Amino acid sequence: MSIPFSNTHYRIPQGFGNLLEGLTREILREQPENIPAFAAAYFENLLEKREKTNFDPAEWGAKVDDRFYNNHAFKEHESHENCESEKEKSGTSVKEEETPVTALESSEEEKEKEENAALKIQAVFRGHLAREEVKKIKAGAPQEEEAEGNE
Amino acid sequence: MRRAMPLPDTMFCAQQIHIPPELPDILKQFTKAAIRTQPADVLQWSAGYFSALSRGDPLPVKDRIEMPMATQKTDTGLTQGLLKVLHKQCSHKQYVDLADLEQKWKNLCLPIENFRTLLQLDPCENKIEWMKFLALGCSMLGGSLNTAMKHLCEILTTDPEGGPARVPFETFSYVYRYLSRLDSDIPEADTEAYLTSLQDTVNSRKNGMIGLSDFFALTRKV
Repeated sequence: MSIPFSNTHYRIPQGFGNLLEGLTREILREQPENIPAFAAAYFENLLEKREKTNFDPAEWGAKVDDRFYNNHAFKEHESHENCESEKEKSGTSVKEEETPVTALESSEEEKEKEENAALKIQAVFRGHLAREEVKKIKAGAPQEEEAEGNE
Repeated sequence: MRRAMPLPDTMFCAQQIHIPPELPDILKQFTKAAIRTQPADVLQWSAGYFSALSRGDPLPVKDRIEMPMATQKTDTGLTQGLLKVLHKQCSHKQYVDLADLEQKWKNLCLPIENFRTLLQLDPCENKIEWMKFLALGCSMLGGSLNTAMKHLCEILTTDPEGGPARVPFETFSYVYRYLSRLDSDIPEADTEAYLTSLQDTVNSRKNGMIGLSDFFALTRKV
């Protein structure tokens, strides 16, 4: 299809990219037989999650996109510091949970927050490890192949 | 050599990923539909899109992009294009289930309060005749009865866009009677007189169709 004039009106909806990416990733990971049904369940699940936690991946994606256009978003250094402190907090909370008898002072809500933060941190760190590994493998791959070829 | 090895659990490179052959097309159509429809709530709409796709139902997709997107904040959110999408999804049945309709309404990112307001105009239980709901929707789009009828013709017609927007006179008069009955300001005698005058024009044409120019220009002269 060709677009005859300017593309001013053909905008990709805000946050759509993020949804598409998430969907594709899950499809490739799960390799479902029936992709439309899988996709329907996937979005249904995200919707349910949004109702419970108020987290909208599309909105979040749009915000991330926004950062590239509105540079002043970068001026907020707070988020970075928050991350650090949350990391510490989550570290201690994990320990606390392991000792079941002590009275926990943090409320349910806070706990959930910490839990989420911990999950995120772990995920990012694992991603980092995986990427490092891939880097190593990519660098190592040509040599390895040569070695195998020689065998 | 490499292929003989069992597939490792960890993914090392892109070549290891099996891409289902139908996936690229699904994603492409999905993206095109999103760009054309410009849903206000992408996540809600996406759920509706794939739920329709997996069931083989008509998709909640606009035929073409609609321009007055910028004014969305000020109006009720309902547009002719969205109503047309609903029509595409519902018109195969004479009666539609209200719960089903509400879900479709929601998937088009329309506020549910508006759905309820619309139904308050003609309260009914469990199901509604699709033509009646469409008529109510049209009346929500335009101020006067005449603009509502114009929207109706443009949605129902099989003529190409920008064409005469003809619809069967039978349908036209059915909806016209229905809407004017809901509006207590319009005496029934006036409605009938108006429809009879239109009937004459239609009869002279023999195909039983009424177009936009038959009634829309007519009222402008008055």
